[in-house]
Amino acid sequence: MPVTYKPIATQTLGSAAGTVTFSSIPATYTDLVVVSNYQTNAGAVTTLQMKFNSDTTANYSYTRFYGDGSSVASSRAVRTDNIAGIGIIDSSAYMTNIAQINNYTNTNTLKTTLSRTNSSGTYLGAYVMMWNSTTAITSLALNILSGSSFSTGSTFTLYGIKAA
Amino acid sequence: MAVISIKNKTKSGSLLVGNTPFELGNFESISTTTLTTATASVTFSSIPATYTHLQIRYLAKTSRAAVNDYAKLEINTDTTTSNYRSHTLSGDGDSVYAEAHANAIEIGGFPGNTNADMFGVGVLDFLDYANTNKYKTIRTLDGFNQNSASAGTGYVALQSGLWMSSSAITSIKFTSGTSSNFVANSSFALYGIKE
Repeated sequence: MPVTYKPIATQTLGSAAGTVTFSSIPATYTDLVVVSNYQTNAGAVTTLQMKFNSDTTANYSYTRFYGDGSSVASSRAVRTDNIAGIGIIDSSAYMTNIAQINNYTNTNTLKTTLSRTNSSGTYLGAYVMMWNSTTAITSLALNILSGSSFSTGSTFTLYGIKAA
Repeated sequence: MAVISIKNKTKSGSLLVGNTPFELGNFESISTTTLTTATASVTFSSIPATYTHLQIRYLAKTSRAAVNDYAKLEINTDTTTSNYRSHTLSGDGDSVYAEAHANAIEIGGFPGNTNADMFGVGVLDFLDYANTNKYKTIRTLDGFNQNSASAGTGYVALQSGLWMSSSAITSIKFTSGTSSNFVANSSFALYGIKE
């Protein structure tokens, strides 16, 4: 059987960047996985965002739960909040996020992203984020809600998984 | 840096910064079911024992006339409910929940049919599924979001399931926990992972 889990593109930041974009994503896979290992200059707790197809309008909502070592909590944002949250950012040295985007080219369904978020300092949690569009995903952009930047050395890899 | 073993004909990589992206070279598609009509259950059968782990990735919802639903797993057509257990850690936007389910493996990331094009998603891992010396443990990440502040319209969960049998897993069946149907455009994909 053919290998079905392949890296499509990877980016290692040579300098700080406010946004990391994967564009021209081929439609030849079934699911996408985005693996991010990053540091930021945020300095305070904020949110990692993932937006699709250059859509920055109020088309995103999420539900999450997380723990900080002493307590747990759950919260949400609806479309009017316009936050495409997939992870928590704090002042940790490096943080990891793995996001799963199933059936990203299916034009009959809205797009839902599942993610696990881990910081080396404080937080771990899980997110489910919906993009209110049936359009196939052809590009995705990661940024930080507060407007901070990803630091030099942060890595981002986009994988494609193809079902038989 | 990728490491290539001539002896074992394998290639491996490291997740360290700057190295070549890690490539899961032995992650293979086994079977996919995409529904064109509403269906009561989805079954993967005759699963070969030639892999080390299995993964199921789904996008699905049910016909239940409510904002949420859940699914149950049946393995190897085993209908003895006392052979199943599961645990859930979940959030719905308001609270975090820890639950135990006796007599079933319950997967919660399935919305009902109150919003036509909003589907749930999940990734299920069946570890060491063909090992006949141990019971089988399943882990999941699943959820759905329906862009609403109303209770029950958002759900994200980490779940574990236990099938108390040492038999190799050869079939996996999904059914709605409320006896509803999985609707058209629901899709379930089974993958095998080799060491």
